[in-house]
Amino acid sequence: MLKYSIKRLLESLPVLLIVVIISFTLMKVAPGGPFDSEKTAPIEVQKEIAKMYKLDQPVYIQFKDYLFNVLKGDLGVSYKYPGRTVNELIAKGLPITFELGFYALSYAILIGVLFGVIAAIRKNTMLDYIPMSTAMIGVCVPSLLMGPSLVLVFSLWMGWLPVSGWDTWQHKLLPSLTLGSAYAAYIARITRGGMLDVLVQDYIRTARAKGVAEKWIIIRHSLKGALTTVVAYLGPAVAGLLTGSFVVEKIFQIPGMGRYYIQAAFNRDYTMIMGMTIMFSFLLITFNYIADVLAIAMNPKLSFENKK
Amino acid sequence: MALLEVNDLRTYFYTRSGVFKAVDGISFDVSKGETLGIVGESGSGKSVSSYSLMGLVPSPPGKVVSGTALFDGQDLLKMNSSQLQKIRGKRMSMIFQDPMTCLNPFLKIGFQLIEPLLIHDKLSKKEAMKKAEQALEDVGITDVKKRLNAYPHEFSGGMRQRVMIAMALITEPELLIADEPTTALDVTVQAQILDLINDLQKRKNTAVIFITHDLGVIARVADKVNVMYAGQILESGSADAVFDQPTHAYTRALLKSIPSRFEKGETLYSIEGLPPNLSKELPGCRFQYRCTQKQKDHCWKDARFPEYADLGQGHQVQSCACTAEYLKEAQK
Amino acid sequence: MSQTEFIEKGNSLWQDAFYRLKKNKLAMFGFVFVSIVILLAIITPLIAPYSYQEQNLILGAVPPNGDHWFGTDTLGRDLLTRVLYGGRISLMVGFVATFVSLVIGVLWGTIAGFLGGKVDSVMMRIVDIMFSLPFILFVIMLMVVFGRNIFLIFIAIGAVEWLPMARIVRSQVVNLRKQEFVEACFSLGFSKRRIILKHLILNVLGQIIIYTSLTIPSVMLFESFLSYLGLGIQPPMSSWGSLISSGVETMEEFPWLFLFPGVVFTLTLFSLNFLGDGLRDALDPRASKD
Repeated sequence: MLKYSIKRLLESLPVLLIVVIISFTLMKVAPGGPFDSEKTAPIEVQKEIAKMYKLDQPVYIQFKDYLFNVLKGDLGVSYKYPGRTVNELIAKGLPITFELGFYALSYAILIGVLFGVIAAIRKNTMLDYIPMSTAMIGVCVPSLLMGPSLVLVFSLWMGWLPVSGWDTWQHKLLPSLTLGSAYAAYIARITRGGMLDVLVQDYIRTARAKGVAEKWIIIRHSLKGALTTVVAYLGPAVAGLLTGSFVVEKIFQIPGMGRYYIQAAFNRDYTMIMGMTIMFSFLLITFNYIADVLAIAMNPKLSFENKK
Repeated sequence: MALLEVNDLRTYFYTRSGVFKAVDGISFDVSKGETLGIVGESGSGKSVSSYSLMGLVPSPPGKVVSGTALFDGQDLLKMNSSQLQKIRGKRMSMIFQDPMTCLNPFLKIGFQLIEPLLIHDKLSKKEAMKKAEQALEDVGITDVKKRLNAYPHEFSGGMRQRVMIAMALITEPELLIADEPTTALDVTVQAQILDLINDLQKRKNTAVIFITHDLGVIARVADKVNVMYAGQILESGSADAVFDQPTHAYTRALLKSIPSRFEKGETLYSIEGLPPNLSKELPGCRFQYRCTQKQKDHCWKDARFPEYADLGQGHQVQSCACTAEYLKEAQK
Repeated sequence: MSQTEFIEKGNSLWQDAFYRLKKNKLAMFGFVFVSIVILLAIITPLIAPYSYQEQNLILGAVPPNGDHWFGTDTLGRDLLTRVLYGGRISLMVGFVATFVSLVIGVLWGTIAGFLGGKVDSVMMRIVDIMFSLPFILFVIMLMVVFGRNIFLIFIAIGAVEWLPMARIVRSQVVNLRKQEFVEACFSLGFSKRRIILKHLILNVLGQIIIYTSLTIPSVMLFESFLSYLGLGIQPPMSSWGSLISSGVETMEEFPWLFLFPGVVFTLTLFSLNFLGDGLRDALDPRASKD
């Protein structure tokens, strides 16, 4: 287990490096960017940037220094707003985005697994069709439609919930639902498929032959097997949640990192984008890593094989 | 009265390609302390008939269409799931064929072993674990404490089968159904397992249904034999009678094909052809398509199937013109 | 079924699949709806009641009525027309980007599978690494750096979506090669080899069809995200995504502005997804939920 964890960790590092390289390269070629001869930023910023990124030095030194800074945790300064650092904005926005993502994911897992299990054990009945169709709605109604529609109904017409912001739980309900719905749907599908696969296995027949009650067949004998596929999906799910959060944060005016990122994109705040991209990537890679290790840990067979 | 009395059991599978009559009218009984051997090829219905008794037939698409199975006076086929649950694993146990897939890969061996004890005997975990240790030792597994804490994939196929057997025997059931339990094991282990089952039988007067295609094993363990083919019983009787006086053409062909009867270098005898498609109507004798001794015309015209001729002392055989011919010849 | 029967049945694999698909009512509905939408998109210039740029500032935004079935937006532009044209854009992005990803994926997978050995390892390793990269971020960066060019969007999205196809194609190609190797060892009859080859190619085609039908809605969704964030297609050319996006801004007073494009978009996504699911169930029963 430990060996695998370390192995995976080492595999993740080059990926991060590639991200840094690509970000750096893109910023280098950007027209009107900090590295372009055509300067478009205020003079003070230019001086700051020039100093920070050592623009007078050859490219590889620029890159080396940037990389060292990143490793030290310094992700640079804003290109458009003098004095603002990337880390500053991350500190402001990340906790919020985190919270949103956490709620959305929890909702997705809870509802997804529940619907999936019910649909599987009552296959081809109403209790199968209804949850799965509802789930399908989560997939097909894009968040940019679902979010505003929910706001329209529950905030503007009913007045039950606030329209935007991120303070009380009432503020947090709709955005979390909007973000999580698609993933609830995918997880429901995966859980259903996984359960169905497990329920026809020989070892379930053995359990029945031993006189195990149906309730325990599902909870104790089947669920773990079904959930392994779900855990495998968590990596891509988190990636999706990340992008989804950009949209949801805009819909509900949530001051998360996504919003700052998009703003930076609009402002062509290149260094900000660069720094934030690296941060996002780091988070993504970390989550993927955790999901992978979790998947292995959950499956006794795989963790045994990886011990060797 | 026998412990288990099965009468006219029929189990069909309803699929898109037709209705497969996997078990089409079989009757037999097993008494306490007795071993019934069920012999047949793959697809003969021998496994499905046992699943039907235990309520393990996947339905859909399978369904026990008719028949009764009286276990200690109660009809298993008419029980609801909670009644069946009380019997399964406690009074009636089953050992399955494929040890590689029959154990839950996500649960420890120890837990899977003690589960029947926890459910039926309501033992505490501690007491159950003690019994589990003993059970593993009984099936010849060493280093028991460590093994109990392990997962199935850490065991070899032979060991897994031993665990399965221990699991089935741990509640000391009244009826044990063993579905090809030794097929995946080597001969020495096979002998141990057979001894084990024999031992239990002697101690607890357990009834055993032993399903296999291996005639050698049947000869060793069975008191009575049912020869199954295409969902029906072709011949049945005491093991001695069936082996000494095989009457049905199929039984005779089976005995003829035992490899140990042949000298080195000799061509082995095998029954030509494949078992019939059970979704088609099969009038008359089901073995006729592969029978080398058939008297043409009789085989499918005989609408009396299956009717049994009694050859004395419980030895019965599906009667047909061919069998009658054979018996006439034999008496000469 | 005996061996020979099974192999002969390979020819009717398509018929089998077709039959299964037809039985699936949801998938059929999806197919019909998508066909209608595509048809409308193609003939839009002929049937659109107004020009999509035509403004009527005096009129302003009005709810659906006889003149304007979907109503108008704040600049007096007919919404039905804009939804029709928006469909053209959205569908075009969907199909083209998917096509781009298909081409890249198939080429990559075929080359990797065919050449095998080290080249294969390296190429697939690259795929593995790319799977864990946050492509959306790169797409956004590309948008920022190079501007919002529609072609760039095609390529950017295509560059993100090709990975799964590469993996699938590569494994099929590897299977194909294994078959030939095995065949060389055991010299199967000519006809049997052809049938197995046919099976494999049909299999690959099947996977491609399934993948395409599920990727198109995914791409359209992605484009709508970009549009909503303001990084997508520029007005006056609008996709459904940008229509919804601008409609949301005036959601309270003029809800029809975002509801109509939203519903049409959602129904299209539904249909494509149902169709894709249906195709998957029909062509690859092993993977089905049954």
